[in-house]
Amino acid sequence: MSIDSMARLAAADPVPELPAVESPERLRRLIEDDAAAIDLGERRHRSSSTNRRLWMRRRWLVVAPSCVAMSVVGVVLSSSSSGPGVDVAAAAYAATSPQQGIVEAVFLARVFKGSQAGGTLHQREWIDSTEKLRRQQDSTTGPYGDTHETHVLEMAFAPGRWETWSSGREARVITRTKIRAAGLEISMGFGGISMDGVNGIELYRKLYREGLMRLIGHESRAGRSLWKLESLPIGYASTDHTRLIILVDPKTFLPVAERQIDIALPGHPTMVESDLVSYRHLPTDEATAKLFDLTVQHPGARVLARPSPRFRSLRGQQTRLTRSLREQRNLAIRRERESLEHKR
Amino acid sequence: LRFELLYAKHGSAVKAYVLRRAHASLADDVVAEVFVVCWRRFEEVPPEPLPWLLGVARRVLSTQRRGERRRIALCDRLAEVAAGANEQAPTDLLASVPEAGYQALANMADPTLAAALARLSEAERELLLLIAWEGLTPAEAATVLDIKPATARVRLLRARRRLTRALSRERSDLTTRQSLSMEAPS
Repeated sequence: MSIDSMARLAAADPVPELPAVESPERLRRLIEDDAAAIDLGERRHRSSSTNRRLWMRRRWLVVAPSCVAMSVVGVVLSSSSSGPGVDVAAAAYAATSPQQGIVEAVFLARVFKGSQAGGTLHQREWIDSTEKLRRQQDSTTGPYGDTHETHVLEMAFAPGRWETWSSGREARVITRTKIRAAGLEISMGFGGISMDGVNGIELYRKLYREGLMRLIGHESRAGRSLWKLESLPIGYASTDHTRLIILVDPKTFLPVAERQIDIALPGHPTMVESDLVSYRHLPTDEATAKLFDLTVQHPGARVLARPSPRFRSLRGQQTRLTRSLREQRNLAIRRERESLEHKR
Repeated sequence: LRFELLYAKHGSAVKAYVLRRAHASLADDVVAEVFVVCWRRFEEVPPEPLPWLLGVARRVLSTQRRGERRRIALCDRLAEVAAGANEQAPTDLLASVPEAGYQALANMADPTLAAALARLSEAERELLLLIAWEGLTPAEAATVLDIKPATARVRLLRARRRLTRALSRERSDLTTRQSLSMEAPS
């Protein structure tokens, strides 16, 4: 009788066949968030100075073996038959090295987590390595209150100066700032991700030069197996814990997608993912030279020269320059929002 | 790679377990949560991982159920405050959250069997379902329920007897009800 009851129970199974499961992509994202949450858990214990000192000591105990382990993994990956056979990070750096002519890269970035979740950034980047020119055009669409708004910001960098232009009320002005110090690099920074923080090809190249990128394996994306490079979870400031993940094409070694995970704000990790939509070389001629000139791109705008900032040290210059640039961008965005609200 | 293989091999079985016990809309979230736990505690996963994974799924479902009950209780309290202290607040919402295993009964097409299972304790019912639906051995079911294999065997014996008894009682009740309805004037 008991056999009958069990057979009857088995026959009443509401799920007689095994269901299909989701692709592992969503799971991978959850795991990455979980890793971020674990890091946050570690950071929460750093309340007192004693704990901080202990943490600093312990961090080296963790970081040193991790580095050794990473190196071993790197060696194994590069030497085994299933590995890349080449230094993928270096190959990606070489692939994105500006050669003769101009490089044009187009990214589409999306914010998945954080206060700007749902926002998109369409970014175009032009680099002329011979003349040391660079122009970046960011078209940001994101939630502002009840509406989605689009804001365009352009930056042009040349030896000795940088220029900015933004849509909206500031569209008639190109702000030009002179840089007196030689060898000063302008970086939008890599800490505290926002839509402003995505720096495309340049960001990867900078992190590689600083020895912060490493190969950690591969990831499938749209049916393609791509090499996965990841930066160390540190930023320029001691409080930064942002990581950059780059998925690299196994044949061309060009970055297919970038993912940034920022866990600086406890409980509120931010994740931005950007896809490389196109990457091409343009010839150097009269027409392409105009790409770097904002006065040509925006003929109606007048140039407003800003006094050159005076800095005491190169490190101070870098920090203040970056901060000044960020403030300038934020101010332009704020003014445009105010102008839109005023119109309403 | 080992983790991906684990997911590919046992993901469906875990999802089926969840679908038998919870609403379909929750299944993917619960499965993802189970494998996040698995990733976090990968070193603890035994060589035969399915019972361990089902044990995690059981706890995740239980936590979710508790969270849902707390949320509804909070809604009730807020409704009480909004309605004023003198008015009666709705409390039947809390009763709508199924106890562990009751969702499985709601999904069953055989009402007599569902009624007989409802007469068992939650522990007995879960053990029977793990063996009948998940196809586990008593020892594997013991891993899921976090009890000793010997305890599981004794509990299984008792549960089978009780289910048989409950089924015959349900059958006799049904016969009585049918004869009463036939005797009743139209």
